Amino acid sequence: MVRYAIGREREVAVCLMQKSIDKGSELQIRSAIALDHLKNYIYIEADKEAHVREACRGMRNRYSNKIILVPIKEMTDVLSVESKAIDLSRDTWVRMKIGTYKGDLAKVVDVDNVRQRVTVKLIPRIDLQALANKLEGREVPKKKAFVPPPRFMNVDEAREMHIRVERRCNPMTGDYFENINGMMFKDGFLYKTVSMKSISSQNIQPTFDELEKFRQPGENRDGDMASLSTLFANRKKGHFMKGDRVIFVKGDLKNLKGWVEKVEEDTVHIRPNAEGLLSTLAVNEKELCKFFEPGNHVKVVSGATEGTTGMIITVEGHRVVILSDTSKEHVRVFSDNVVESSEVTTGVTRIGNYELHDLVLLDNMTFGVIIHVESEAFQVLKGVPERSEVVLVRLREIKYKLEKKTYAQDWSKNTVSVKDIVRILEGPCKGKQGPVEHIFRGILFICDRHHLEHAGFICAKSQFCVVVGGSRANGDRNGDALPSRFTHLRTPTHVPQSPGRLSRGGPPIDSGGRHRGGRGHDSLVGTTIKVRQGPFKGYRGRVVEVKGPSVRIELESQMKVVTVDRNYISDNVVISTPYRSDNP
Amino acid sequence: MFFHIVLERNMQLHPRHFGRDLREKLVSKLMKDVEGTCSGRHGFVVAITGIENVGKGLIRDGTGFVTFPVKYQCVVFRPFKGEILEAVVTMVNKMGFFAEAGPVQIFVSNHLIPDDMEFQSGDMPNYTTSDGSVKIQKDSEVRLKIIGTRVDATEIFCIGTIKDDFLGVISDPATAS
Repeated sequence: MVRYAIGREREVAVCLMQKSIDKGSELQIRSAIALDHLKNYIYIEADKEAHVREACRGMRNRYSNKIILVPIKEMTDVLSVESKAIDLSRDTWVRMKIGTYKGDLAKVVDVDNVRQRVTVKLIPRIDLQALANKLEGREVPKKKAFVPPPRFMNVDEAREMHIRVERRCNPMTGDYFENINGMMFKDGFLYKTVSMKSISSQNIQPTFDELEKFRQPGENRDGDMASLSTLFANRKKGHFMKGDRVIFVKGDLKNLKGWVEKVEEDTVHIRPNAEGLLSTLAVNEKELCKFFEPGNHVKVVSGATEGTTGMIITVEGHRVVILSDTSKEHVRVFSDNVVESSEVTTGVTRIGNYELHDLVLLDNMTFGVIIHVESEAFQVLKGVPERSEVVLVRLREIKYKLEKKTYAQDWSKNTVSVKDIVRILEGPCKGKQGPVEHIFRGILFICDRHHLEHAGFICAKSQFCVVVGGSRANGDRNGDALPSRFTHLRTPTHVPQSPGRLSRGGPPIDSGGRHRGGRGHDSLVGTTIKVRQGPFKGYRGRVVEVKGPSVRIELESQMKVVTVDRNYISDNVVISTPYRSDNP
Repeated sequence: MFFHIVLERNMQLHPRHFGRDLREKLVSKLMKDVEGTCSGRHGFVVAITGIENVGKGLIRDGTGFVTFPVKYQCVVFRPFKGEILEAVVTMVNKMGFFAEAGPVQIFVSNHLIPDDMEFQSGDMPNYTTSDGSVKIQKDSEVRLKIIGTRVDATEIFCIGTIKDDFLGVISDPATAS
């Protein structure tokens, strides 16, 4: 192969072809190639340089006699380039590279390969007011760098603003377009003809939301095919696994279901779920899509909601609706992006030092509870009791985690501490009830599992809540309700207390469960405590009786009952001096 | 579905219960411990119906607690996929409604509610047919089919559907009273 400097590459190549037809075997070159991306050169394949010179003799448009030999190593690359050429076809998803629509998703509706132009369908970003002003010649001080949000064009709205809307018929396709100021609209979408260079078509991964916007209400399920074709191109390796249930989405076998038996590169061996067919079929993976049934428990493996698990509620074509395990919310994803899994996760629960349900300080005045962790940001329910305010914050916007245990006073001036069950008496969430998860500056964050918004978290002023005494003793099946009053004194985490050595000897349920319904001071009876001061310092035991300022304790290690001052035991429920027991 | 099965459990008993009524203490503790709990394998333990046998107790060093292996008969409730259940609606929201069949919580998504029923928000959120003849609200009793279950260590959660023949409201609190 030889390079040859010249002006009009295609023309020369065609001339050479003509020449070879005319002269037959006289012309000793084997082939001639003109590549679009290579200006001023064509490739000629020949055994000898002289043959090339001979063939090119008398050619027009030749500027130089220079012939360069292509090194053997590069020879294969010359033609393999072709595979890199972008295959732009109708219904492919592309992204705009420049202009107002930079980064926007667009759908190719027409391709003009000769003029290197494509017509794409976009969601218009048009400021009608600005357009009206412009058309009427009004001068408006321009705000710079303002990109109108994407919105479907409403022709009636435009007419109301006295913008001229023409209805024209495209002579080529016979479709009607609304023409506004030289822009073409149809069904609210903007049709724009752009150069192929101004769009990128490689590695386009439309998000679910973007695709949903493009989907028209009347579009039937076959309309999915376009989106699917792009999705397929972006499939990861090892997309299908043995045992996956699949459905054919293309070809003669469309809608046939089966199970994956074996995967080899692009070919997938399928055991079809129908009588009278071969036991296994080898098919290209592009013809397949994963298939699920309502009730399957799945995990999302790619996309914005990656990591979420849940149960499939409905299957609509190739979309599935999942009920997330943790948030009890609906998540819509492509069935291609989920795998069957028995695992239950919340998705990502941690970024940096911050975890789901942590109380964090955002700036000096605001704080909140992390209610949702996204790929790079947190959703935080702010500590504003009047209304529930959720903000999206990034990692660096969080100052630090608030871990200090504090107390607050409820409606009737009782002390509220973390894990106490309270009922809200006033405000928007009146009547709700649940355990306190965090306390900060007199604001309680309560977790009510029946509250569906904000991951069950409710923010309320402590004065508007009341500690629910009764339900504490019998509301908790595991019996950790009684010790819970002082768990916060010992363990910074929310793990139910397992009082030291007792956990080895007997289940923690033993102490709490037996004295269910105990109230007031008697709630101490039966609990396992540790003596903090005095001659029995360090001893652990079970409270037998409370006698005014002293308690009688049955020591665990010695067979006797001793009387100890109430203030000397660490698990004292009278929280008059809350901090002194931080060193149990 | 309900099952009557025999289960085994190691019970720890505090030494102060040792005496004449050790056995009764053991049984009452067992009931307290086990009834109402849920295991992924067997489902919810509804009630203990009898004690099969109590094994030999083993004294634990250091604490004096004694471990008895106890075999007991009990009624368990475990929901299955495809099972038809009658449940009481506990909460209605725009995504669907939650219902309870005994200890099991079931969620029926709005995708699995017949298309002619629409969500009506307000003081008493409900799903109503266009002609208003059928209404699902809190405390309604519905018959539903379970289409999926998620079994955790301590909880069984189901999703159900009423989008099928003979499913839906069976008694309405509004009309009943």
